[in-house]
Amino acid sequence: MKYSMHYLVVLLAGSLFSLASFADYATAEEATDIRSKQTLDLEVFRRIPVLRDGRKMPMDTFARQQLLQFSGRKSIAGKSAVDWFARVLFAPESVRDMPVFLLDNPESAQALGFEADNRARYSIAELETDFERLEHIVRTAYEMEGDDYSPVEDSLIRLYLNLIEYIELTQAFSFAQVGDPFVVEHATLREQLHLPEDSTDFSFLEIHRHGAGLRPLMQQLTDTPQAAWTALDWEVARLSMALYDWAHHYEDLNFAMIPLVEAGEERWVSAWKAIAQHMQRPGVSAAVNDLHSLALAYDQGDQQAFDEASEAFIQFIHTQLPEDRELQWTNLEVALNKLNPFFCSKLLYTFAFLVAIASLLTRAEFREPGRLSLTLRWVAVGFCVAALIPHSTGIIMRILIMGRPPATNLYATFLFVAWVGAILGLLVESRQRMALGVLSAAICGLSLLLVANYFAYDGDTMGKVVAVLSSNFWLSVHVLTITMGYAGCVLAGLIGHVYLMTGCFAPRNNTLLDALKRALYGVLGFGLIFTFLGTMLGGVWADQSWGRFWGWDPKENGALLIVLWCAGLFHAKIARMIGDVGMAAGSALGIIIIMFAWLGVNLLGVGLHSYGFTSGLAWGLYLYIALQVVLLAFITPIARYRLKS
Amino acid sequence: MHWLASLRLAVWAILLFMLVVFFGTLYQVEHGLHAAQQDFYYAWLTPPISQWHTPSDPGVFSRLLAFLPLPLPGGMTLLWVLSINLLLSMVLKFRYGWRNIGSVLTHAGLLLLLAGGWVTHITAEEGYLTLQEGESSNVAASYTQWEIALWEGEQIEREVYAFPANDLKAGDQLYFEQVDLHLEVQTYHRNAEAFIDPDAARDTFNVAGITRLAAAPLGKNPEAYLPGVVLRARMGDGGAEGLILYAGDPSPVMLVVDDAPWFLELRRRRIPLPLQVQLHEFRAEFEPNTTIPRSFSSRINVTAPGIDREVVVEMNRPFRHAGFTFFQSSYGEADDGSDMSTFTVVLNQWMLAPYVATGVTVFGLIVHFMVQMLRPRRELRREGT
Repeated sequence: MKYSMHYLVVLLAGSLFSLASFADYATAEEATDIRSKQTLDLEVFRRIPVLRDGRKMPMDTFARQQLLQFSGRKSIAGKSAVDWFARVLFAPESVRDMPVFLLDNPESAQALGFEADNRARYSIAELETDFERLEHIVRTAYEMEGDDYSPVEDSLIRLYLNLIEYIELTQAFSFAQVGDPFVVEHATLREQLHLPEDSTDFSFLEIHRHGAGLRPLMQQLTDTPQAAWTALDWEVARLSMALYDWAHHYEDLNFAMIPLVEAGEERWVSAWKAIAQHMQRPGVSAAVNDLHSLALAYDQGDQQAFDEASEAFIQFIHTQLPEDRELQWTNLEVALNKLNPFFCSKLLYTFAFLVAIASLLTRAEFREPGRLSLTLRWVAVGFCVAALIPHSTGIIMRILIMGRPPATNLYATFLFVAWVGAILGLLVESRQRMALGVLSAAICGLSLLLVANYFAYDGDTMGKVVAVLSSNFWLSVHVLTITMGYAGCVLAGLIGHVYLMTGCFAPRNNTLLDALKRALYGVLGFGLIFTFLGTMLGGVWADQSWGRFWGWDPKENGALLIVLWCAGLFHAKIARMIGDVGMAAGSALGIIIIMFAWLGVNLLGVGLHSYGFTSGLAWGLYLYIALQVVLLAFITPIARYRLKS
Repeated sequence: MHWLASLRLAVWAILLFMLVVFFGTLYQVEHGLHAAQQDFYYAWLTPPISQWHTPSDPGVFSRLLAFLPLPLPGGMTLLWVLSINLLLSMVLKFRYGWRNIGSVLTHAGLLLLLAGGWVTHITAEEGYLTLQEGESSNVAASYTQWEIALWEGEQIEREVYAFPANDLKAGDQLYFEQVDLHLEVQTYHRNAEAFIDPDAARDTFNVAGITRLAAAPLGKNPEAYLPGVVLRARMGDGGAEGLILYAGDPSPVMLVVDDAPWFLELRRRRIPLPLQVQLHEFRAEFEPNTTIPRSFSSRINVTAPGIDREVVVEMNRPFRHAGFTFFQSSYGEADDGSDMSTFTVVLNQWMLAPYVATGVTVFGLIVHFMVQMLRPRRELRREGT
């Protein structure tokens, strides 16, 4: 687990928290001055590119990810993530009491001495009060061999690492904050350091810039016995010490904002690190100044200065990394975040679903489709096509942003399979014109997008993939074909459901049943071809990168199960072992096998493909399987009986 | 014979094979991939269902079925049944004609896939080659196969005589005629722990002073096994002496025969390569500020009769030569700080079979479904008129 990486961080944490008191520079005056900050518009700020887990993303996404990591939510107290994040960076005092940190286990809350009040989220102010207790628990856990922690320890360790990360974020801009140690009351000293006459309160960076003036003064002091020091001398010593202390303490903060290129290799450092080591590099000093103005403008609620500083800093990053592909798309990602296209799709698929049902119901009433039914069918198709527009747009935007085919993680595969399923359903509709295809399309699009939503809470949905997956060619041909196969089989399963339902409620409607049967065969055949091809292409890829075509990896086995199930169904039908009802029920059962192949093997947590391990998912999957089996056990015999009689 | 070619048999075999694959996958969680392969996919019979379950097994299903002492037919059995069924039905039952061309192609492709899989399973060899920058070699070592090897002298180019040492059992006799050496196996452990008892009688010889071997638990990963063997060794007409060979021994045993030094060692089976490989440089690139690898690549020089050139081996871009394929598989750092690169080396003459089979089968499937989709439509129209 990644905890081991953080081990050093934990050891450092004690000193960091002593720093926390050190960083309580924010005065009461500032805390009351939130109103002006609330009105600041963050449109330019949210476009600033930042590095997270190896990927360049806009500040907007970074803020969302950070909030998601801390609190499992995408917005907080009715505010957008970036609004909260700007406060964390520039005015941490104003979010001290926000319940941000998720404790998903009631026992974890008890362990920290909180009353059991069913609350899941706590503020930094609450958590800070008894930090030693948390530290003790985490240290004890780390003393154990291995990393097989109990769920409570696991959640507390996560909380602990989150708190450290949070505190580091609140300190990321401390170089720009006006702080007690950098108040220079002494007018002569201000003059000697060429500091502005009209102010006494400065930030670390402002003093640091005039640090050259301090050096000769300190030089003189070392030659003078302390007893002979004047008040001015003491002031010089105090200021130098403060500079040294702050630079030393904050140098290793994590929030890397400044990209450097050394010997062709890209490395990002924090602003503090840049101040300490890289100010002489071209552009860096100006960039740090931009960040300083950014913090200052936020503090003063100066919109224009804030935007100008953001813009200048964005420009700096682009000049540092002129050829970077990811940087070209950060604005698009902001737009994607804002548009939320998949939400629109879900809404429209829901409408399409409801109207298609209405069309079928009005039709079943009269056997032959009436005007109303036909109109409703067109409306349903309209909604479904309308749903596909934001759906496709979203997928295309993701492809552009990542520069990868839309199948790099579970979230992406669900988006894509939903899309293929919906299109396949519409193709069936275009051939049969009975509202059945559009019904299946809507169910497919809606249900799979809802599942995808679940994975959106796992972290960055556009994260970097490991080296072996980074071949766009193989990723495209293998994962896209196999997911198209999944889509075909899922859609066939849904059509199977519709067939069984029709068998139960309208067993005499032969036109409908016949159309469903033919659609089922076609779509299941499509599914079989593409799962087979996808599985074999997976073998080809495996042969290219690991030297074996087939290795009985759980994911390979899962795909094989789908192929075998489809092939088995077709053969059983030809051998007359099952009839049309059996075919429909079999396709419906097939969805369980697809879910096992798609998610189940990730739950096993072994093998080469276990990239999407999620423990909470297991219960959802079991529940689904149970419901599916019960439903089929109920409707299949009824459909069979009613179709026979 | 007819039932052997029947569709019903195919359906049942497919269903059973699905069960084997499904439970084999669950079995892998607890027992590891190698055990799942040996006990399920490549087995004639699986272990009895009651034995699938182990106390810490998370598998719900195997727990539900834990009272059944019956085994399932293994993957090997079912694939043979399916192959024979397929072959027979193609000979006896298939109707050949343009209408069925899709189906015929599909099944012919599957037959080729199964045949290729079987040949690969029987003949393919897999090993690895680890090189430090600047180092060169022309032998790979097997991941799981072991051998007892004998050679003369210390020169780099040498003739090696070896016996496979993976399935030795007590009583096995090995005879190296080159030095008239008889070896009789007394005990053999696939994975052994070695002990040095200071008080033990020194009646068995070992280079490192090991006096006793004990069986170590067989873990999930057979690549990590260290075998060991206790032998009675007799040279010519001399008396028999005890000898312990252990995979963890630091150096081979030296025998002096007619004043010439000979060496005996239990080692990973060597796979001679048709070319000399030298590592020039290994490079690993990471996404900025992370340990997420972006690419691994090795620049190597390959020499063989008529060949002397540079090759770059990287992820998804292996180097192939004469049935051998070299893949970038791992890397490390040598004691002196220089990079080391590990290649997986696979020898598989039938590598192309699945590629061809896939093409034929998919083409067949597409043709078949196209024909199927078009045919009933015409019939329906006729009904309508």
